[in-house]
Amino acid sequence: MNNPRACWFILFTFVLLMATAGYFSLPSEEETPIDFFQHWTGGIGLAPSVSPAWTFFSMTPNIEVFCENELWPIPGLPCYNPNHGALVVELPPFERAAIGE
Amino acid sequence: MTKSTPADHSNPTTPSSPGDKPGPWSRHFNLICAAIENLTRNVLVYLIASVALITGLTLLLTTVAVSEGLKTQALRAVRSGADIYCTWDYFGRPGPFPRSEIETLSSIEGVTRTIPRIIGRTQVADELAIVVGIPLHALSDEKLQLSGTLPVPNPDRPQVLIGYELARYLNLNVGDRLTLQNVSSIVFQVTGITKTTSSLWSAKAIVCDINEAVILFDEPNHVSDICLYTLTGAERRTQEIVQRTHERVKAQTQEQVRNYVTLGMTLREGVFSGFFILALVLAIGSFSVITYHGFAPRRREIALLKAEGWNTTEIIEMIVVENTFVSFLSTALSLILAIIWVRIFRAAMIAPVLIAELPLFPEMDIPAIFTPLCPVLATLFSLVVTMSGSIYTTWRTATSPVAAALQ
Repeated sequence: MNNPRACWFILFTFVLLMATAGYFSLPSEEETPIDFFQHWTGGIGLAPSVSPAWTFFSMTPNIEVFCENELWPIPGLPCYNPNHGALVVELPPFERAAIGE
Repeated sequence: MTKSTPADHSNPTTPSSPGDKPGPWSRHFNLICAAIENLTRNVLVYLIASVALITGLTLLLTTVAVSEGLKTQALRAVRSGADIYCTWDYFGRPGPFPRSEIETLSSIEGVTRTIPRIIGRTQVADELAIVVGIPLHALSDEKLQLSGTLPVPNPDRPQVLIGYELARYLNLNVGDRLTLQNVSSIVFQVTGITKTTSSLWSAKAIVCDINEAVILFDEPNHVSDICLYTLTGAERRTQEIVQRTHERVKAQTQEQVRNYVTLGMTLREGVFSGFFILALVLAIGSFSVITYHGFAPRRREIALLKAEGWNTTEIIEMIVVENTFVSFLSTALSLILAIIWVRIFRAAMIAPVLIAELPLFPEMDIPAIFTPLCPVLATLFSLVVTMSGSIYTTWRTATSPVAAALQ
């Protein structure tokens, strides 16, 4: 292959793939097995929200086992909590998953 | 962009010099060389065509990595937390736990430590923050990473630890005063602010002594829940004894919470499922239209190759090699972009969509883990997009009459 652009292209592809492979071959960051904030407070959190602004269930589902917005102000209506189904993960009601195992 | 010159391609079955003997691999090698030369000549076209693909892949990789990171951090939180969580059942849901029952739980054999907690919500400026009231005197020797110091019980000048993002939003520094108001109002002194590397759920938390939380929420007879620490291996037995102390006591072991997190976090739902399908459809369509279907020079090039003596299989093989290169490059570029986006820019612009109540430009570290599954998933995704967008259109062009394809 005499085309210099092709040679540069092969080199670029090789470097890019090596950089990607190199990232995965790096040793993972040393993490202490204990999260001291969680150890200190007894454990809060778990769900993908940093504030209980809409419901405690969105943030710490072992304190509030389901979304309180489902019961108030009108029980039975579709839940208006904007976080439902819109975040990176969706947690099921706690009791159904853990207590009823 | 240099104009396509299909005549540059020698027939892949023809040896490169008269003395050469065509070996079993020389045909494939020639096709790979031809594919690379095609890519370098049409680099701009491929770049434009890959924009939709790279955008979709970057989003996909970011979401998968944040989801994995969140799961790992949640499991670490569970491991660091209490052995048993006790709540009081009211109308089938957890309610305030009577303080009068704490002594009964503490006296159970196997229980080494009992921590009552008040977990409430209060408005600070226009933010709703979580208030965690715990007995600070029992926990003052912990090695928490923070700016300032840990709060200590001080009835004359109540102290609090606040989360990094809340402190940033309220423009608070160590030593500043903060008024919290619920049923009562208390002026606190900020003694510590968590670091950006602290647990995600500390971002907007306010931690104070349980006695100040009692005054704030005016609830002297109840707490939110009780954290029990037990002897190793005694969790299940202690849970059974705890639940027998009163018919309203509900106890969850650390194992149950861990199972819940593991189960719940594997249900990846959300708005992104829809986005990915849309991105996939758009990427296939745009790739097909830009590179082959609507790109006349490429159609003519394929027709000329046919006229030169190439057969359909050889043309398709060359296109497959071309698109395999494009797929690997798109995967690598998307992965690098996703890593930069999450690690350096802390998922700016997308953070509140992934994790609720985070600001648009967070300064907290976003939990993300790029597992080896990420590039595998991304390569499969990009292979589907590029191959679907090219093979059929190439085959249609290669099997149609040369004169028609040249038009």
